[in-house]
Amino acid sequence: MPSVVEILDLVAEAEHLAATHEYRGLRSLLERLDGEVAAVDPTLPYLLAYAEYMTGDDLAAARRLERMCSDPRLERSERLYRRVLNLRAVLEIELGNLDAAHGLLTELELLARSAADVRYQAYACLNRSVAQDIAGLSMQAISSLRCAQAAFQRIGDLDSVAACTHNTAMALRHLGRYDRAEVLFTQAADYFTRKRSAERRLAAETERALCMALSGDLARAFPAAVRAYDEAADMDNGRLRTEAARVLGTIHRLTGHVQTASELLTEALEFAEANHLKLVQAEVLLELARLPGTRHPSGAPEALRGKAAEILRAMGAEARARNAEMR
Amino acid sequence: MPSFLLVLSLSDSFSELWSKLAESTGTRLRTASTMSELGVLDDACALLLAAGGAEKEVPAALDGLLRLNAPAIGVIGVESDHRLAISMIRAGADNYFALPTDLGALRGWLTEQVDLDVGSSRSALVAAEGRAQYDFSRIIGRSPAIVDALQRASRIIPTATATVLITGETGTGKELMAKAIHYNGPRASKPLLEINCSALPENLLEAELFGYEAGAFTDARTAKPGLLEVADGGTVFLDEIGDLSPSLQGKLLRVLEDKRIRRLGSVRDQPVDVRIIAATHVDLYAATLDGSFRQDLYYRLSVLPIHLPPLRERGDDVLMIASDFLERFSNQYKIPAAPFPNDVRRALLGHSWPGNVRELRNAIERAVLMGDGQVRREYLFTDLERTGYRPQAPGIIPFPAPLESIASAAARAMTEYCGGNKSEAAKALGISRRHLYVLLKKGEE
Repeated sequence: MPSVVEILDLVAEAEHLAATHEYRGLRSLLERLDGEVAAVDPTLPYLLAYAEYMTGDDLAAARRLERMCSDPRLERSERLYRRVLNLRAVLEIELGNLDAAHGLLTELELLARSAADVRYQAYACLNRSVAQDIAGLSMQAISSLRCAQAAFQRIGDLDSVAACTHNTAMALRHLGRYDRAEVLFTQAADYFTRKRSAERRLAAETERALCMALSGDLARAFPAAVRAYDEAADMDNGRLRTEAARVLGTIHRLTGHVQTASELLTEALEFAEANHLKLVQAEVLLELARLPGTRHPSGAPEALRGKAAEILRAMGAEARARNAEMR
Repeated sequence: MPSFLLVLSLSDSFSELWSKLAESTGTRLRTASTMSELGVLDDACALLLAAGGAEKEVPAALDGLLRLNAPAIGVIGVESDHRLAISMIRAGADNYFALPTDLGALRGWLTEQVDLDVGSSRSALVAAEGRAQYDFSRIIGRSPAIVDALQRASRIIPTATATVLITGETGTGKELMAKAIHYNGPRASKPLLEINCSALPENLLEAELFGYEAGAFTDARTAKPGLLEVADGGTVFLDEIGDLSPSLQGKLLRVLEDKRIRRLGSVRDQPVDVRIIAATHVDLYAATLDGSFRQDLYYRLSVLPIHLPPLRERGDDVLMIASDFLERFSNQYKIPAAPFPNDVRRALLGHSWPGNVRELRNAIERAVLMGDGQVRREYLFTDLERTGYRPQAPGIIPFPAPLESIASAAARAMTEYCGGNKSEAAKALGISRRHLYVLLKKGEE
């Protein structure tokens, strides 16, 4: 068993890797961790779960956090418990369980408020906005994001300010305001480029390529999406590659390259299904349903839309489910 | 400047630990073995009382520390016994940690104390980041019109309260100018929040700006602060202010004059301290003449007006800006790009740039991405005809589809857009509430 000083050194190194967005390094540092050491400072398994999430392994992260929550030692670490709650909520959103996410965020908000913890009140607000946006309440999402952004500006949390910018862009894109959304995705991508956060930069650039396409500028969208797809493949990040495949597939559909679009969207669908990424799964199914003149192995366009609506409804995204059925 | 972590050691246990703890929580360390060695306590975020085998001495030490108005006190021991922890807290400690078991909890507690102590000073980081990102040097150009705009902005910056009105066509850089004024001025470390006045229906915009109390309207289950309240101390950027309804124009005028707001459903006014930067692409003065914009609000807003000229009136600025974008995208995409050939320079100067700087930026980015190291004239401008693709609005209205389906989808989309408010949705669609219900019902069939 290492001494407390050695454990502190390990925690400091892990926190440093997380702060500098070195998620692969963080994973390899902590995956070898002895269970007893992890129990002394539960920050270590939390950071491992965070690294798993950031490198696209959502299920592993969710399972790890679930195990952590059954450890009574976590009760002693109120702040860490709030971090765990927040990450669990993020993962529930990614995995499409909006009701579970809302429950966790309410708990987080109450705990943070009672501890006068502005940061985690703002995180609760930020992540609630993501759930609102997915549920089709994009205006409410933007409103929540403004509150979160103001709080993050006050406490000087620049990464989270940039996350607010990214999420506002997502909501604006869902409202059809593609030009404005593109401006905000550019701001987020610029910030994460400066901070050398490759994963977050790529996420913003992928979404930005989709905005370009939806606003009709396919000449810019296509090379931007190809770059994002290649980079995600190089990074070996399944979630980012899935998103990039979906965006590139959409662009191929818009340019009339049906076969390539079908292949890319099928790739995205398979990963989303295997990793329980329900929102991505629904979005890809809707994209496949729009492919002209083809019949995808998963079914006819009506069946694909029905399946997407079913997934969205199960997630708690009723408005989006109705839209899916109408398209 | 990081605050201090104070350690009062009643024994030699864990002596190696303190510097590591200070390092991991970003604090400076001061250790002592007696109360008198501790020195002043008001620069510390937390104090650790290290018992480690000398637990009996803790109550007396705590008593002395509490008299000195010490910061949050954590007692460190080795016994993992809840009765001992309770006795320490009863004696005045804020927390008790048994090492090594509670190492994680101790770090978490310390981080929290540090956060409480330095949270506000970290907001200086926001100002520094904002200044770096929204520096006036990013507004490029030597044309007399842009130089005049920059000179006006430089006079505005030191005044923390003056209202600013930025006018100019879409894409001329109104947002960039607003951010440059905020982040280079005295409010830089406070929030800058923006809202587009044309993007929200009147009642939602009012709720967003002024906030509401629980029960103020049907969906207001809990109270919510408004933008003017949340941005207190900072700046609110009201984009497209020309689209503000007459009723909200009156309410905004009262905010500007009285510096007070009232949440919807509240009976109390509360003071707010925000700078308003407004922007519009319409001629607000002309709007005052035709009665669509209040004259008193116009004069209140246009104390310090800044007009950003369209790109077509900026002469050679277009080449300077284009070269800047060329360099930026060349670096971003790692595609070396040669200087613009003559035909491209002529095309850049000859185009009317209705989308202004934003359109120019997109054109250069496209040309860099497609040009393989050489910017070609044919890549500068979009050719939608080539793909036959036209963007559709929000993507939730089916098309092509029977008119009936389009109408009911539009009814649903607008109802959702108005946050479920059917009266508002009907008004926005220009139909009766009854007609809206019929369309919504048809959509369900």
